Amino acid sequence: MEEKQTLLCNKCKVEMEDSEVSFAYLNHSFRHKVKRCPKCGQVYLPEELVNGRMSEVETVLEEK
Amino acid sequence: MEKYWKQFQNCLQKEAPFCTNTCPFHMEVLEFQEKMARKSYNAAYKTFRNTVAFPDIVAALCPSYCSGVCPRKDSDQAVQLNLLEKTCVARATKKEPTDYNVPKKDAKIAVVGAGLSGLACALRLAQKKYDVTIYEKTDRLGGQLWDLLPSELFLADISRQFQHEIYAMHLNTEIKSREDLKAGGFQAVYVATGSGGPDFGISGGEDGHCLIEDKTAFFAGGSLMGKDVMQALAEGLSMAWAIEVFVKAEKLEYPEDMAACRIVADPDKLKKTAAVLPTDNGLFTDEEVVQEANRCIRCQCDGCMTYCDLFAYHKKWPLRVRDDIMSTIAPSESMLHKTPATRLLNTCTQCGLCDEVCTGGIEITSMMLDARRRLHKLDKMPGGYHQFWVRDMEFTNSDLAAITKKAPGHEDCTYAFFPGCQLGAGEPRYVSEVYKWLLQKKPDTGLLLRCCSVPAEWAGNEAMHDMEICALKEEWESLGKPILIMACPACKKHLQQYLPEIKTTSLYEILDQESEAWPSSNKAITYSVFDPCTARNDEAMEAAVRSLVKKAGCQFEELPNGDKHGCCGYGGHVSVANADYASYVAKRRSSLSENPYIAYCSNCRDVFEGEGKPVSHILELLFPIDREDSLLPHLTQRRYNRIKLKETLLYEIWGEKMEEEQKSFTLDLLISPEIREKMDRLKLIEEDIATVIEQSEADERQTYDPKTELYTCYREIGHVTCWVQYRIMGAQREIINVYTHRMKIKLEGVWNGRKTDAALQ
Repeated sequence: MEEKQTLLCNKCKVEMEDSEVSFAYLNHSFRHKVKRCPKCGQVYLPEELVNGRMSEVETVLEEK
Repeated sequence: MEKYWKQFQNCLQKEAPFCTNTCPFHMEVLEFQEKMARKSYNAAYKTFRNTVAFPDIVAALCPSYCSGVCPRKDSDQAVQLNLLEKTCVARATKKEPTDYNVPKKDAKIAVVGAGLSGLACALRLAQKKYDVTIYEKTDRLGGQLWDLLPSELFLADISRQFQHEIYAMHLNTEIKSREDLKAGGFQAVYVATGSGGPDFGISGGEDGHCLIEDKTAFFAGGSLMGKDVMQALAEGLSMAWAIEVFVKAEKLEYPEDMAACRIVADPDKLKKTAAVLPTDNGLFTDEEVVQEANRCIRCQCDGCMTYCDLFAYHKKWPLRVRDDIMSTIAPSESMLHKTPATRLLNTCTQCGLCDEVCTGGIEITSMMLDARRRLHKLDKMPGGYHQFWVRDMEFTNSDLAAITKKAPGHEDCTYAFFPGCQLGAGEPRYVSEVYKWLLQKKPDTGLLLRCCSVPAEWAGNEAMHDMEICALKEEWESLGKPILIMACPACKKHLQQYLPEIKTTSLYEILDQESEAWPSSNKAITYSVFDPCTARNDEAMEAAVRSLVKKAGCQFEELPNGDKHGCCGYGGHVSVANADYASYVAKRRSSLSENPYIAYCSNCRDVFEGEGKPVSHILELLFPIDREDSLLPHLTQRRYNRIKLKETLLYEIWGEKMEEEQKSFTLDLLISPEIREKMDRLKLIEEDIATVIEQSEADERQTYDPKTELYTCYREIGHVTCWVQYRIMGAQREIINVYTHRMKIKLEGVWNGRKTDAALQ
């Protein structure tokens, strides 16, 4: 079984949790669940998400 | 943008080809040929039948009106469309007409005369389930066909086409006048009594085709009106259309005549190909069908689709592109407002080839640029598209890299060298060595080292562009308004457009005029000269480059279309908006010839080298410089090269030392070649990475993975959010990964009841 990954907020030293964050692009805004620090709210986006779904949405909005 | 709407009235996208235009039936010849070329005889037969009503008869009788207008007639022989039709009719196996399930209509229509024209009209109306009655004075159908064709041929075709239709046929019934039909209660009557037959007074009437009496419309057509047999058939079909319009809307309308075809046949497609001789008893064999159908060059106005990379790549026809662009730049705040061309119009390389090939005089290139400006004004331009180049321009024009100076020891400049921003970024010595050479030949040559401002133009940022153009003009004036010697054809074209008061000449003309001999190059290689799109039609520059190539002892060949090709992929700064497209264009241009290229625009040179295409800048041949590394430095190095260039020039030419601070960050970054490649693709420089890390460390805004010991952080660099993953190695930061997105993360101003720092720029 794959070991659970841990990711810490370097400021608050707590584990990042799945939480909603708001995104905006070209007058459109939407929310998505990503890793966030439960204390200070900082966000972590993995490269797979950025180059995958996010890039797709950017392209769609630019041609919508 | 209204100007472009008007220009698009000249767009011939929907113009029917010469053959369709001339054909009495206006047959969709392109569709027919496509089907024949793939030997789909049944499908081709269907197209033919739906157009002409009686395909066997038409194939047998058509005198090929189209052969008189086919562009092939002048080069070899017109496409033998009639032979193809004959073959189609003979080869088709599914000839049964479709039995459409259409509701019956009440309107009663009479057809007088069962000749070809009358039968065609009756067939069309019967297919639409009108109540049709045919009157024929003789005891047989077909009229003049009895004199033209074997009766078994035409009777079989007529009976096949009518097989599903219900209609009343009265043979041996002569109708002499309108009175004879009064009792029938017909809403419309088609009078096709043949040559010399009674016209019921219609042709003498006001309309010429129709006379209305007691709510009954009498239409006349066919041989009665002096038409030949094919035109008579076609007119029967047209009148069926007119009758239906009258019955439905009580108004008189006829199918419009087509205006003369305005398409200009593409000479490149007209390669001489002999007409195919039929070898199968007067018909074509399968192979011959394909050959003959492919002799047809499918005349249509498709210059933009053929020559413009953008149209070809997106497979979008011009009217669609126009509509998408107009919709995109319409001012609207609505979430539902469609902006389908945001990416597309930022994918135009601004090479101008589409304008040159458009016979309608539509200025598509400037429409694209105007649309970018509009998009920028509406704040709908994705900032990330052009940010890198606009910042690059700002850097080039900053004190770190720009120089405006008169020649040492001279108060006046007759000339000033304008190298542009990219030549020195690639290799500073190509600017410094050329400037030194110029000073030997023309000692009062000043130097104007800056960007021509085209990045602001391509970004659609008019205000910034105007400002940069003003600054450039002031600097030129401060040098005493010299003639500018331009090394970059793109800068030259741009200055000619926006600052026509500045006299310019190309560096290559000066090099050619002032030189006798150049170092001899490898004579075993045959090159091709690649003219940049910005030098298209600049005959003096093109000739000077060729002369220099010869003087350098190089063999060269012209590219197949000379300078009539698109951009290398650099123009318009399209690679962020659509990297795949930029690569598609670069590959297309790289494959114009197997020969290595000689370029004289440094952007073309860089693009081709990036594609792995052997290429040399003309200056590489004339000013050989030993280099250890490639002439394609990374983006960060390109910035350093500009600083180095300024430093070198100030010291070597004017004996001055540069004072400006060179590095804006202190972090020691460890970056692998793979990450540098990736940074280039993402248009990031070291400074961006350092900014992200420095600011994040200052705010302690990072995540940490204890297992990999990786820190991840992000910052907004203008319109782009840049993520960096790194490891701390003492004083060094080892960069493990970088990635970017254009979408913005909107942090909450308050989180867990505390105010947060939501601004991340």
